[in-house]
Amino acid sequence: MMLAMTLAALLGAGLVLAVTTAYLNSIATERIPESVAPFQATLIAGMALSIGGAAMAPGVASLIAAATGVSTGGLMLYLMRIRKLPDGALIATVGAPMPPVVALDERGEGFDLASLLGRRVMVKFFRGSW
Amino acid sequence: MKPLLTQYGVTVIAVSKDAPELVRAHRERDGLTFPLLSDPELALITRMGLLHEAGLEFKTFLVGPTRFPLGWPTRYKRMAIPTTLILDEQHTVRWIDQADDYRLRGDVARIEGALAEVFGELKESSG
Repeated sequence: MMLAMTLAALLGAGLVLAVTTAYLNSIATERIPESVAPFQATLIAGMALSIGGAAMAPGVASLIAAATGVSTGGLMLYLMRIRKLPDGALIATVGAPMPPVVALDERGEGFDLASLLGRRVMVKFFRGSW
Repeated sequence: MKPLLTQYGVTVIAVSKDAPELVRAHRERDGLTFPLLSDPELALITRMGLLHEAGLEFKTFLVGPTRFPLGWPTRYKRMAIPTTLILDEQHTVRWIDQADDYRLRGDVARIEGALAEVFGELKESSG
């Protein structure tokens, strides 16, 4: 019984780590799921399993498993909760002139959007590398 | 997507917080033909109201096709809120699309629809 519960705690922590890896990998490889509910449900199940196992069979292995499961799972649940962006305070509005856009080009030299006046432009702001 | 942009005569520029050398590596790696711009201090991104600081930065390492997290997040990562703006010839803003989830990039289909909506009628009336 003790062994089974310890194994359950280890399994729970393993589940949390597996989901964490899968989730971060989905972001890094741009295969991002719209819904995070399956990830959240699996994390919670893994955390519960690790806590339950440690509670039923307290020992070094099960307690380490529970601590790993809860801390990693908690962090991932927090990250998933903050994935939604604030509305932002974008100063550009439809129908108004584009605010000045000055940045560096890939040679490190200045670029001014005004140099493209007379041409239709799509300006993309993206998050850049992780 | 590029043929459609060419059809509408739209020039693309893309801005991120990446340093110029990283921007160049990114463009060459992905074979991009439009200019990638760098805003390393996030001055433009901040002034535009597009600064996002809530994303946590993880160190990761790659094993085969899988990327693994390495340790705990070290700090908040500052980045631009993914946003696309379409400007006409006078650089009047005609369309804005802003992601509500920092993990996601702009939706290509939505941008294609917007190009048709913004410039489709203009093209007909001018022709």
